[in-house]
Amino acid sequence: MLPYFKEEHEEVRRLAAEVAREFEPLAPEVDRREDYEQTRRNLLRLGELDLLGIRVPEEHGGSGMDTTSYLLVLEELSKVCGSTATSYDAHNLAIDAISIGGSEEQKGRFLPRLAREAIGAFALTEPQAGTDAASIRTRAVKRGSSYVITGEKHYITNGGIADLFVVFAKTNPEKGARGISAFVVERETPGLRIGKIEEKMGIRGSSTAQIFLEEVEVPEGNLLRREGMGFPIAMKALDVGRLAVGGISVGTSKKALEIAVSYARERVQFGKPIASFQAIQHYLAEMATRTLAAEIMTYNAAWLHDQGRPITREAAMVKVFASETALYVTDRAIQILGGAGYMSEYPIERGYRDSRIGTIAEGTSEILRLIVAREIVGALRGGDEA
Amino acid sequence: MRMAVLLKAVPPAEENPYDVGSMRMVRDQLEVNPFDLVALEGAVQLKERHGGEVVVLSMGPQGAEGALREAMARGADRAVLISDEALSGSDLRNTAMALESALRRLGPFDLILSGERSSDGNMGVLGAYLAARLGLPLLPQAVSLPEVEGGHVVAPCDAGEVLVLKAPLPAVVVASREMAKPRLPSLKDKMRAKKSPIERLDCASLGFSPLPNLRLVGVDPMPQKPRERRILKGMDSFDEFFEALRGVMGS
Repeated sequence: MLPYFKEEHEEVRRLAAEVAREFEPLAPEVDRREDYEQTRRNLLRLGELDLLGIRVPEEHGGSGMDTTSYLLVLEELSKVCGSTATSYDAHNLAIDAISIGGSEEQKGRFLPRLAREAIGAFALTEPQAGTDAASIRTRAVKRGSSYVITGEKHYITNGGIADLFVVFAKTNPEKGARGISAFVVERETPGLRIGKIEEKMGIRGSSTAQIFLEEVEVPEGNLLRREGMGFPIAMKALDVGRLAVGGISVGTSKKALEIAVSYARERVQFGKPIASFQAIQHYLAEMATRTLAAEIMTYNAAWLHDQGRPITREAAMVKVFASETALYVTDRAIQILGGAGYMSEYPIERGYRDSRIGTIAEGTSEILRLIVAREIVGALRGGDEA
Repeated sequence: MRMAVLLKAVPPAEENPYDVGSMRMVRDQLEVNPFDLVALEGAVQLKERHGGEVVVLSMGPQGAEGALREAMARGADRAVLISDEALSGSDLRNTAMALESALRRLGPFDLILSGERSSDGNMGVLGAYLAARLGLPLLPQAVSLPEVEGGHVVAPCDAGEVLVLKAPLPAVVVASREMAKPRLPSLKDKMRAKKSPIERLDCASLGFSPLPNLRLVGVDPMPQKPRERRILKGMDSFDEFFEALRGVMGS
């Protein structure tokens, strides 16, 4: 047990593990049939159990728990269904953007719904603006007491199942990143249209959609904070999003390791369980070591965040290391299971496909390494603790 | 309607065998015997239907508190723990006697519910034993939620075939595992229950002194059936195959 976990965290983990058991038998079909609706039902089930808005303050209808609790839920979900875990992560990005940028009135208006019965999506990425998020082209123009938003978003997780979108758009295109603003947009707003739902390699049960915004009029009361604050809101939300990928990766890794250990103990070749062969033992040892390292890093960063400390550097480190660990561990698990690991009979091939997104979404490993490097160099220059 | 649910705190059924670093879940805590969760769910559903109160009663060590809180999170109104060093290692008779004194003290109850057995003890006779001690009618192995009406309780009970049994209240109902599907408590229910008080009873407050326990004098391993291997060939061997299968399954 890690020192970061208190009794309430174990309660959260236990509850998340129990509800995950409900999702587990459905997960292969959710993946195979790209069953977004089931994923949506899974999220609403989390709402019934007060887990959907786990970090939403109690006065806004949530459970008021910390980031550590949130990651524990993600970890347990990702052990059984990467699609549900990913959708839950994206939903919480929307919650975070509103929590970070919203006024008390806005939080009171949107968060209680997102804590129970409404699904959120975080609409930043555009065809021309992935890692280079500041170059988005979606425009928001003030007209009377409204903003009119026009543009196109793509690869938006939960796009097809969300009720509320946090949309990032430029209110002042000349100002680059400082010209970006964040708006809450209701699904039913005229002009908002869901385009293509992407067919994916993994997390196939999470809806990844193209969103068209054609003269979408939103009241100015849906602008978060003020004009030009969209980019810092997005970056701060993504810090937690990167920890979320850490939680998901830890869960995927643990599950793959558990299956690999169990299989290696039982599978007999040349008259012995393959776990008795040193090659397999080395794999398992490396998988377990990296998994534990990822877990410690992830929950250490969550703990820092819960203490109110800045986590940009740690969150970037966590995402790089944990997502690459999940890829490594699921890959080795397939190797240990051999042909059986390649077949869909075991959930490992699904875990492998699901974890492939980890080094790409919410910051590629490449840009995150740059962030880590900049943080270190900056800290040295300023004579900081590092 | 006042209901008592007998609840045992047991070690967790599934210990994750892979203790890799921190990966083990914290398992030093006792949890609610899964069979008792069914009885509790039944009681809570009856309360939702008829109103009233659900009191969970357990005998066990201090560590049983977590299990009782779980029961509170799942809808019990009161939780009472009989805990006393003198009761440690109690056999069936002492357990039944302690529970009986507590039930008489906390009562009267209209219904007393218990699970079909405990996942660690597996004897499955406590409910019947208590009914006999309390002089109450027993509905054994209720397979669906009992109906309570006009001072009577009616439940279909599994006795090889399903017998619909009716008894005047108060009565003891032993829940078969099919009786109800235990609900998951919400996180807020769990957090609320963490702060709920657990009432305590001990031998002194019950005015009860345990009698000498049964002594365990040996453990015989279960007799193993000899393993048999037969190879059946051809389409005609299906009957023989099913016959063999029937033999193995004992029906």
